[in-house]
Amino acid sequence: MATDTGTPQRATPAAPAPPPAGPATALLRARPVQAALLTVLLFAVVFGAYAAFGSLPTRTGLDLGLGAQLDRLYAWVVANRNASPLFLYGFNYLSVGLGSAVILIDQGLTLLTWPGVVVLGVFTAWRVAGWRVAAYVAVTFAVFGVLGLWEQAMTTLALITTSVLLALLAGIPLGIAAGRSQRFYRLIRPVLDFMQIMPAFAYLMPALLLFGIGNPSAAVVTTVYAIPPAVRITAMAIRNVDPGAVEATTSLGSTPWQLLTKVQLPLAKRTILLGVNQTIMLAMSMVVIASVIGAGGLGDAIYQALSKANVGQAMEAGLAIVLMAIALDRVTAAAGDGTRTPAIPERLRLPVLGAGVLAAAVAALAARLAGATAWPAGWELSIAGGVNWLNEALQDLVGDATKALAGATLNWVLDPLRAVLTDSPWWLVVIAAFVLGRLFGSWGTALTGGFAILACGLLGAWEFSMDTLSQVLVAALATVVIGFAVGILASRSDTFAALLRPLLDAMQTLPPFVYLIPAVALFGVGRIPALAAAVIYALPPVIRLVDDGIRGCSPSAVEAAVAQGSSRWQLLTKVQLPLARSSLLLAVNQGIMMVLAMVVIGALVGAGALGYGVVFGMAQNLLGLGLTSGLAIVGLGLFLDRVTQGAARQERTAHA
Amino acid sequence: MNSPTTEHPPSDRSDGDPKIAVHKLWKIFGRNASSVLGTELQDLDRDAIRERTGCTVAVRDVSFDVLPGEIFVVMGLSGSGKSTLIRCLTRLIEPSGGEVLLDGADIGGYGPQRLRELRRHQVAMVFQHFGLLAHRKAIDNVAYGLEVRGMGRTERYARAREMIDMVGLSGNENARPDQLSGGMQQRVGLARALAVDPEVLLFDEPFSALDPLIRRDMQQEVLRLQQELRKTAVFITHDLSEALKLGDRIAIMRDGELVQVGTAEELVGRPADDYVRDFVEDVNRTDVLTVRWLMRPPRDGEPLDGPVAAPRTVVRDVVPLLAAGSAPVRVVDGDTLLGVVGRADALRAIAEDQTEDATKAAADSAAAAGGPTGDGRS
Amino acid sequence: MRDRSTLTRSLPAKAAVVVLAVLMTASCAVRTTSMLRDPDTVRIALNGWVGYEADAAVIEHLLEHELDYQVQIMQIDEQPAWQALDQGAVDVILENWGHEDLMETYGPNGNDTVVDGGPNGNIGHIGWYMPRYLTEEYPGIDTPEGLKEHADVFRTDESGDKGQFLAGAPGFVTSDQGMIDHYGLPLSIVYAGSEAAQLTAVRDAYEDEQPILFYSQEPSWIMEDLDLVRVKFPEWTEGCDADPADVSCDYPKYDLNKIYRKGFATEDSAAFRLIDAWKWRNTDQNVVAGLIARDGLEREDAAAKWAADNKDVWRPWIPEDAAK
Repeated sequence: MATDTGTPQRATPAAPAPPPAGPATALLRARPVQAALLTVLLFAVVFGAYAAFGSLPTRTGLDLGLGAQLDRLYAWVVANRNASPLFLYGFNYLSVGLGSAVILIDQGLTLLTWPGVVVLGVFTAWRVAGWRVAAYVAVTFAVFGVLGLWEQAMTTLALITTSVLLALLAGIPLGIAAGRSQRFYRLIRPVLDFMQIMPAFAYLMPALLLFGIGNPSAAVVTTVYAIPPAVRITAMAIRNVDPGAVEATTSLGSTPWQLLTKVQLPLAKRTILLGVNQTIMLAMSMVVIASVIGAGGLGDAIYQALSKANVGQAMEAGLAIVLMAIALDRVTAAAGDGTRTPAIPERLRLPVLGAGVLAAAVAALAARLAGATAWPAGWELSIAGGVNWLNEALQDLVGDATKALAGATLNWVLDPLRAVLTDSPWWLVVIAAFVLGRLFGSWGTALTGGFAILACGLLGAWEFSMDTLSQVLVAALATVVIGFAVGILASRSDTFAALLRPLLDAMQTLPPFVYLIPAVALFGVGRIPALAAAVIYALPPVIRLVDDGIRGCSPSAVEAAVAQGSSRWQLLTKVQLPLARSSLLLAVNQGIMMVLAMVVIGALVGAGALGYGVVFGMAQNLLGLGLTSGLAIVGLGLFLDRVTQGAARQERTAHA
Repeated sequence: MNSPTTEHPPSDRSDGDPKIAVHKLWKIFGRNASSVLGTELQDLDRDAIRERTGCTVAVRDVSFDVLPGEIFVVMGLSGSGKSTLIRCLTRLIEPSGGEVLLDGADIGGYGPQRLRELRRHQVAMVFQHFGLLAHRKAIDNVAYGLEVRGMGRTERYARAREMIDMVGLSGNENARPDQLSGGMQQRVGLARALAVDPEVLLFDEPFSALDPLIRRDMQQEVLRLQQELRKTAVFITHDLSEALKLGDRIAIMRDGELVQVGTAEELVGRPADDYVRDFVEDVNRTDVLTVRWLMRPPRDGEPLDGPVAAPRTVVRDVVPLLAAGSAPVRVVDGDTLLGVVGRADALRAIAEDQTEDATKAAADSAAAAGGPTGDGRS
Repeated sequence: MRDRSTLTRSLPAKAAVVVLAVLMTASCAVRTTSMLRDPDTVRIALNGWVGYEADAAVIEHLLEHELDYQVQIMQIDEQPAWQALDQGAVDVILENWGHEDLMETYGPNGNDTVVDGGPNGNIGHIGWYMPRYLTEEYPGIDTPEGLKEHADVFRTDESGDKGQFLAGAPGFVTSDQGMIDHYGLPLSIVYAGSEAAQLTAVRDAYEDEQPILFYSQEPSWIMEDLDLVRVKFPEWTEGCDADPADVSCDYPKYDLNKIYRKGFATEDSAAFRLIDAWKWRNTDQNVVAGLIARDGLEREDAAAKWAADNKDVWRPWIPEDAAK
């Protein structure tokens, strides 16, 4: 139990309460939060004094000129991609290999024809996950065809397959090594942390530099993005293997290899498959974002719809992506728990497998003979028109209100905040970042946070960074307020939670791009639609964590509080929220990180700032701008993550 | 104390070279472990060492011998270092100092290959939490040690089946661990250890996770198997009655050190210090003292047709035999007559127990009344 | 554990790894062009304006229906599209606006991976536009001087205290900032993110007769729908836009041209010959673009409709020996 983190009220739920205690005050009572508010206040005072008596610098003077260097580097790369040994014997291996693999798989799928693919896919799903999932997969394939997105879906499938296979090929051995060697784990953990903090959008520029454009580069970036969960979960799985079993088998004289193959891997199998599942899900989200650097398939379909502001088309492709994601999720999840796998006697397994493959081959052959290799055009049906009609109706209905809301938010919240952040002397912001880091975490957190913010300036992206930061702060605040409210409601009503669950599931598999489109329709272009999309995008995990946190409170503590006559409100504010605090802090952390990831993607609808730096840098071949903006995004991410995670960690150690 | 004998209790073991000899064994956990050993730091007590270096001394300068065929029990409370000690015996935990000799060979110098050979053939272990492989059937768990040796499937299955029968699990070969009760799981663990036909069995609190009734069954099982197989065994427990029941000799461990090593009778009869005395004070002597301890050569003319008892039968259990007839009980090991125990001998032991209880009660009431505490008890 | 580390540390193992690495690299240097490719698929870059999509739609339709090719259309910005040609990830850019610098880098004088395919028939002219009703309300607002005077007319929430100049996608050819700087216009560029989002905003403003100033270009179907005027900057002369930070003139007129991946051109496939023969007018493009953007037709349907109505226009493009 901590000595001073304001925890007494949780130890004595029945103690007389300080006057009005809402969920917000429950959180505010933690001392770091009070200190942080104080810091913000001080910041405002110093800023005010500076604005009144000093002259506010418009430029930081921090820029190290990295951008220009990177531009030169890029020019060199473009001229030498097929000449320098670094590429000929290095990066090109990866990009060309992966690109070729994508093409090969895609061609394989084309060769199979759609009936063949359907038969093979449904058979595989049945074999692994049983009839229900197989039926679901059949429907998914049908939707691809009906929406006229068959070819795009196959390209995406090829991209996902390639990337996931490679991510696992790299991730699982690394995970095993990390699971078995503490030292190795300590070595790679910061790298993994870093990779996971890095918003997806920031991966694009380095990939563009090293691997160029198109499917190869997209495959590389998707692979890299999807590796961390594979490593982490595998390492965790190995670590969580019953130490007793490991010790017992060691005591019987197992070699390290025997220990791995006979004990650790079999016992860790389920958890590792969970990692595979996570890897696929991450790859799904990246493969859509990677359409910006030329990934084909469904991602490109969404990107095209986005550039045409065609909500209906985007929804079609989005739907296809979501269905594919859920199908892959269900199949791999079933492979993990194994309970739905149909029981087939061992001697029949090979014949069953043979029959499935044969059926697919026959279907493919029949389709070729009948000349029906492509999905029949007559079976296609577009929902885009309907969606667009709905969208326009909605716009007519609430468009004026939402646009007014957008204007008000801009004028009264976003612009003043941005002005404060960009007009402040840079050192004031850096010091504030440092102090916040110290308050919520350790000296290490303070140094990391302060340096991360400083780095934004050193990269020459100070104004953009502060602009993005202002957007993130506003969107994060909205996310936390809404997310906490909905999460608390969900935790108190099973019906509401049950209604919410499928919605949250779907929202979490929906690629980020899709959120932008209705946001643009409702809020016009600019920062507000990006913010709205970011809020919607970040809500599901926040709601989940709040709901889970409250539901996860020790039932005996709740029972005791009820027995002492707490009202429901008292129960919530005095017992459940304080007990769930570490979940709530994690929710804040997750919410902020997702908001950041989305706000930068919002550049595609005119949100400007760092995301725009990336998009513009890419579109105009200004690698320096793109890469420095990308790195500044990472800097902001690092700061926001460390500070909020520091708070969560402090919470954990306080209660340990 | 007026014990019946003061010399070393009679031993039914074949004396000779120890099977295991542990000599000045140390285990210190922590980053600077090497900075403690061999310096004056090592003479400080545990807390002082932790404060000075951050290291935890788990095993401190422990020496003992385990003779062939005996069950050597190490008893201590949690944190006393007993589990660390037993793991040092096959270097599951690497000792920080000292040596462990198996049949006179120092296993500290073994390379990984030789060490594996030792674990595969000579020493097997049974664990508190069983350590079974959840993804394998019982028979595959039992056969594991043979499998990693490289034994073929048919052969190892035959041997494993034999072991499963031996521990009374016939019919459960194909069950997975989670389908078995705790007691049955530990039987699998036992069978697994026995399957490799080791010379030495190590037990790390094997029954403390089990219900009391099942624990008793398992203890019987160990005694039965021991009678049959005559393995050398080191047995860790925190349960005194278990130690007394199973141990040929018992070592009491405290804060990483051995406090006393001796037979049950010695511990009960002559505790080395207050710590051991506190431990054994609630023990009913008639439950511990064996006929071996009480027996005497038969007197002339004494009838030798009385009931028969094994040397390790406790006094309590011979009382009904003595009550049934007038002839003294004959203490027999196999066909050899070791001695006899008559009614008077048994009564004397019971009487001593009660006197002691009375003394203790008096001391306790004196303490309760504010008087000096019972040093006088000794 | 111990034996494992000795294995990896042992000298022979190390040596083997080194030898393997050397063998691998010595045997094959990998160029990006050596990536697998499906010979029956034509990959067309799609830049982010609907006029270009009209080009791509018609070419896709003809390649698929007249020559039995598969077509992959890849959404990609102008500059990266050149890079994609260079790397072999794309076969053709159908509508290129200038970019002499890129031709230097990738063309015969540079990497020698792309070739100029000649004009596609369209004449392109970028410029600043506003609705005609504004010139009636604020005479002279369609000149740099008038803009400077009336910039506050265009103020929005997003642009703050400056007037808003609504740009399209970040990837478009632009010298707007240079022009703003040269004429000292109190304008701030706001990117809509895409042409479609931009034109949606333009149409909304037009319906309500609100002020709006934006980047656009001919050919564009929007010109046929809305009554727009072009801001009159001095006409383009050689070198007036040499310094991107200080541009004293309007945009130049472009003969829009096709750019091929060199390998695509030298293979001389039927698909190449079709694209090479393709040439049409701004009005053709505007018809298809209007079908897509105004009428909301899908790309394929718009192209099919145009193709059905204009058989005589496209028939000559089909290579005689390859027609179905």
